[in-house]
Amino acid sequence: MAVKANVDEIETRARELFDDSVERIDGATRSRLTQARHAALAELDRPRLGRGSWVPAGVLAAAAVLAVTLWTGTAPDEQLLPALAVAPADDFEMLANGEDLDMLGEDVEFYAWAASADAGNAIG
Amino acid sequence: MPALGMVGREADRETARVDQAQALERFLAGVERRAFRIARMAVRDDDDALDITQDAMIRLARSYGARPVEEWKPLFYRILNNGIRDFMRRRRVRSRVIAWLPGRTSGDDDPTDPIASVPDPAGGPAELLEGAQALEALEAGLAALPERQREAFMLRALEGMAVADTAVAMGCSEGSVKTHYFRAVHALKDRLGGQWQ
Repeated sequence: MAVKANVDEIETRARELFDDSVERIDGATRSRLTQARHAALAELDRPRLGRGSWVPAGVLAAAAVLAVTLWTGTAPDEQLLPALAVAPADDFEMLANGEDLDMLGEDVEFYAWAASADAGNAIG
Repeated sequence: MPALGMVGREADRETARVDQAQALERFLAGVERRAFRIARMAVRDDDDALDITQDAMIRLARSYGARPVEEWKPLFYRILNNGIRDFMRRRRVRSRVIAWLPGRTSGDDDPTDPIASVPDPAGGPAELLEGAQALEALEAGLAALPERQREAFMLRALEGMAVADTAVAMGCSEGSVKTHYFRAVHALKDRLGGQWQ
């Protein structure tokens, strides 16, 4: 019972501190958040590529090739590069992790959109 | 009267578009400060937290702006979480590289400045100091948690999201959310219980 009360107290106190810190965000940060919101709303008017675009498939294939390359071909010698030795495994894990593939999917949409925006700029 | 019908449909689409834009603006205005603070508590740097928050807002608008309003919150926090996770991974790789470079230490790029991490004071000094210290303790406690436990605690306890929405935001099952949250809250109790008495 005491443990439960203690847990509730932690939750309540953490929530109070968090709410208070939100209220005390300074004016400059609030202004930057407002600008960020307007930038986000401007996205609604941007043209988007269709779901059948070849770009996401191409980018996904490139990501898969990169992951295999990192995993099999270029892992550094642990004795020479101890600090870097685990990085490829992390990168591979990031690509292999299902949750992060969702993130990759968002990035793919971004790259597709960026490519179309670049093309539009080049023409204009 | 096909031309008039087309004009009517066009007007309906424009009305729907404006309504959706207004709804999205209200949603973003309602979550942006809390999202910034969540990102700030995770990455402990104002500029990085702002970048992550802005990126999440833009991605939500671009990819899910046309989705039903009630889906936005878990989707937004999923994007925000992914952004934070991605940032933390890049920071870990960068610190490994810096640690490996001759003449540098990872401490050169240490983002955790206890002074900078305290919110701007705007009230009575004693109360603010106590609040700032308690907040700093909370942030340090959250920073010490495993990533998934930190996410579960922030979304459930700080943002007040339901288990189901938290599961969507974290991209895992509701059972996993409960497990991560249980462990997080008990780890924080052990760490902060004494300090917050």
